Amino acid sequence: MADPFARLLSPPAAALAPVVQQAAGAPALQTMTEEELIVEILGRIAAAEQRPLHELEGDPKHIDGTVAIDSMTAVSALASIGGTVGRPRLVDLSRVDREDLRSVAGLARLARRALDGLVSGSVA
Amino acid sequence: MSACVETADTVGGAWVNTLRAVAGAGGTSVNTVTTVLAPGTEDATVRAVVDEVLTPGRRGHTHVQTVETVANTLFPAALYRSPGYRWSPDLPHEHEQVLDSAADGLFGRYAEMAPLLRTANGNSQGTYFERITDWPVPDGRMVNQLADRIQYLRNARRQRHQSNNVADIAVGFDAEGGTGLQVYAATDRRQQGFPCLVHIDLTVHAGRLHMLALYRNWYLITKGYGNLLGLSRLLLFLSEQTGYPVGELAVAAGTADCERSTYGGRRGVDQIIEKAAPVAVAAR
Repeated sequence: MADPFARLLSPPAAALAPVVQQAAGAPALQTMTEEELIVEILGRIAAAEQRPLHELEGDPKHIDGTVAIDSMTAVSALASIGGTVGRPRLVDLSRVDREDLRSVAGLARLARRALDGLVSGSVA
Repeated sequence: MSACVETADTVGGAWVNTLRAVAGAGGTSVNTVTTVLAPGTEDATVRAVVDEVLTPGRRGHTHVQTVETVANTLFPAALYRSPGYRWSPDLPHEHEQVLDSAADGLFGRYAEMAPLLRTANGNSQGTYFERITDWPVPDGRMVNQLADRIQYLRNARRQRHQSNNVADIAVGFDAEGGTGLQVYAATDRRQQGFPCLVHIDLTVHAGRLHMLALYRNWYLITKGYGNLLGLSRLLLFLSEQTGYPVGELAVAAGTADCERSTYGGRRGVDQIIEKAAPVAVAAR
């Protein structure tokens, strides 16, 4: 009988999600386009959940066509980005449109605005 | 006066039974005890009614959040990747590592996002889950009470403890050495009634893990359902991580409030009860 726990142990190395630290030569978060941030966010979520990226990309979609996410996952990804740029409180959640936390594209849009605010020096 | 609440199997059944009992006692009640016999299970009809009532936003002086938002303050379920099996003393080492990694992943992600979460409405003093996993002790350290309790209970299972009376295992106002979970600190300033949840007791009895949550003030419609759901998920997490099967969840509230002034007066609350469950939900 196959080990029922096999899929939970040591996933194939090739399928592992990319490491969160940005690779040499990759654009800095602050200069990423929204499309690039979508890819970045997917990678961070996959890494945090220890799931292969292709598996995450197969999750149910939001009406905007990108992966649908729950608010905790969204805030976790946002916190990860904030940690990378040295701003743990990257946004003020009390002022965030909840719709921006429902999909990877929405989150990328929110992150782009927040990062623009950092670049311009305005308070998030 | 106090209200007698009929126990129920599901979160929804227990919630509506409580709301009905407290409404019948005049809208507020002291020393109310709510018991969920099968924590985590829901009644779809009741849940739909609660979801309809809890439209996020301002309702008078009350900030209303969804059931899931409230539940997440107690246990952020989406951040926990359940391996799908329980811990046991005989579990192979690599499988225990998977369980531990799932818990560590939850704790790590939440610790990273805690500062950001504090910017959300109602979270400025930290969520309950943050307090449970990052608690100040007298010597200045911050301790993860949840991780400590998991290790304590695993050791108890290794020693085959099937029952521990309340005096031995559940009483705890000190995060170190006790097996409860402290949520209210002596340094807390009671702003706007926070924290309402002050202690979580864990008891092993007849081989099952039971939870008792103590609330000073319990806002039954704005928070009640989400609280029961979040506490259920916390208990399920502990059950998986320690191997003890899930027992009962009980909430004891110093004051339970139907929030008539927020939800349409006596008539408005009665309508919610009527839609959710026209008759009291009995346990099977």
